[in-house]
Amino acid sequence: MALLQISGLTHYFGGLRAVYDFDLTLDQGELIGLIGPNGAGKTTVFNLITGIYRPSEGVIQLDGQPIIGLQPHRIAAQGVCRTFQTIRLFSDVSVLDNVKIAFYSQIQSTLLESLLRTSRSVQEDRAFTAEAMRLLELFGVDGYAHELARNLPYGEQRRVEIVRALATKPRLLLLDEPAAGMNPGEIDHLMDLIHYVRDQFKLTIFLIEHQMRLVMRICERIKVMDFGATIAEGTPDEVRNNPQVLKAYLGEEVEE
Amino acid sequence: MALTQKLKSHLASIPPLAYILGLLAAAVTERLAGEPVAVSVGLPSMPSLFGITLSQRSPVFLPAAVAYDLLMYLIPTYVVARLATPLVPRILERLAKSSLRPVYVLLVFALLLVWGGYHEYRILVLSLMGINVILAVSLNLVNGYMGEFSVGHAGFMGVGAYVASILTVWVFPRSLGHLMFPLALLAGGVVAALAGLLVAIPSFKIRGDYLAIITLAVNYIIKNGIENIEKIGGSRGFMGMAKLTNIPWAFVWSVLTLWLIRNFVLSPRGRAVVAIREDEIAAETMTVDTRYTKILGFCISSFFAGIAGGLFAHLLLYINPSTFSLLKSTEVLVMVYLGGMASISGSLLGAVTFTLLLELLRPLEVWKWVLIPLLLVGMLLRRHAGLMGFREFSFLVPREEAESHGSASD
Repeated sequence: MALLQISGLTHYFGGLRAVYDFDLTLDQGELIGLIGPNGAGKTTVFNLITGIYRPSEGVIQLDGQPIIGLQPHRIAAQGVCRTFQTIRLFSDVSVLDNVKIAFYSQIQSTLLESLLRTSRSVQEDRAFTAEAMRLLELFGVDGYAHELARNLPYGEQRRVEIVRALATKPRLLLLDEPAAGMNPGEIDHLMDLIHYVRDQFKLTIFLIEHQMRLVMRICERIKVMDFGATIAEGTPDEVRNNPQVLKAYLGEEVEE
Repeated sequence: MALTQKLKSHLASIPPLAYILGLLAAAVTERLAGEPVAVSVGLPSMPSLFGITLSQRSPVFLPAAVAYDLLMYLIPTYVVARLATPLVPRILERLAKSSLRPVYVLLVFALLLVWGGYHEYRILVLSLMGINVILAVSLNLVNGYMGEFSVGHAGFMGVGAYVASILTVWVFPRSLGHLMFPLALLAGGVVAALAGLLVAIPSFKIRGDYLAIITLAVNYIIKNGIENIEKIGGSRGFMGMAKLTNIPWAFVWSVLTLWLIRNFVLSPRGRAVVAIREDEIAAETMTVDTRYTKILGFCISSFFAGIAGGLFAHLLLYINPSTFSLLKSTEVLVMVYLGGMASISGSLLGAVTFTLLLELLRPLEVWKWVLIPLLLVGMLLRRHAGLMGFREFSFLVPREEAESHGSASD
């Protein structure tokens, strides 16, 4: 069974059709890219999957179960996590606590135990700290653990955002323009990182990206959107040579 | 400059425990010799609050009051603290690290009892201080940690005050006064928390800053509602309570509040509260049930406001609806912002400072409400996060835990 199955997904903002008849089937372990010009509706698709918006029409199923209408935190707890196009770390909180917040759905101790600070709740908190440090170490950002998130360099903030998303124990990771604002060297690092994350955490990854170099090199399949509609789908090579895609990206007359 | 620098570093070299012992010694001395010393420096009687009230009555007493404070407080405290300094490391060695905080709490409690326990006015001021600490810390949970803006804290305080008073006056047998008092306070807290729940459910249904306007309205609704219930006195107020609030009760409840709210904000659930302040959508995406967390935080906050209300009613022995008006809510806001956002230590400091400031400025009457906001504005211009904003005293929140709410220990 497919991990994520989307069919006929359509969303209107007032009279504006942001996403139209979007279909997608994601199997376990796939790495798929979503590209398209600015305003094509890519981030809206992410917001629909994660429950931030409720779609006007269509079906979204996770493991065959419909998830439309669930609150975002429930969808996240079921294993769908994301990063944001503009970094949304908890900026006045330490890097360590940024990651620890993502353990929320894994809290076992009761409210009373939290209030009384019983040894069980303290133990649990220590376990969260240890797990967060392990993840931070894995991505080489443990040195920043006690730094406020806002004080980190841009590239490191992106890394921490991925670590934080992984702390929710996702099965499906949605990355919204992970390479935005990165230089070519940093993008190379990021590509290695994405491959590593997928293999290490047995993840399915769905990513939005503008950097063609990155998308073409790491994605197995690519979907192309323009004005809310899907205009092409296929392997990187197929997409690269699709006249409609070229038209969407380069304009009307295509001259080689 | 060099001299003040030197004095500062000298005073800082004396450990806090030595100061507490010094203050305790000073308080004992005052209890034994306060009256004769006061008369010998030319005061009519022993000053109740460092001579502030006496000097207010007549400025002539000011030099004598200063002399009294020097003789009775500053010099004995310093001398004993100095003498105790070499002993402190040995005392600390004997104590297990875990029992250190309880020892400090007990010493401070002893200090407050010895200094204030036999004196009506001091009992009043110290009890009010405890009540204000409870109000400020609980409001800080919502306004500081959660980043929402509640302006109706006094409304919930009023609910707690009336519920507790009705219970002790009409329901519980009077002979069981102190025995049933905690139960009455808890009932007041629970009803206040339920009122908080009623406010929180609609307020947090949608994202955005609706809480300020709703709490403003609720404060008025509660006040006007009580005014129109003739059975509990309406606008004439309610009385008949026994004087149950004293230094021990005020102290126990304020320490309990500080402890519980501190534990909460250090816990994973408390971190979720801070995450909401930082970025609600990101928090929700990171599996945090933001609506539940906001409602929970607001109810905890209202609960303690209710407890404070019960204590307040059994201290002043008379309450009326206008006691719990917007002015009282504003007082709590001032304490929170004075002390600093998202800081337990800040609220403690803010409440203590504010209580003393109110006593100090009492002769100005209504004009103190011109001066206090001005002082607040002036201070916030210099330190916009308040006295202790986003920071904690290390005795309240140990350094390694302080960062949990995005703050550093000091």
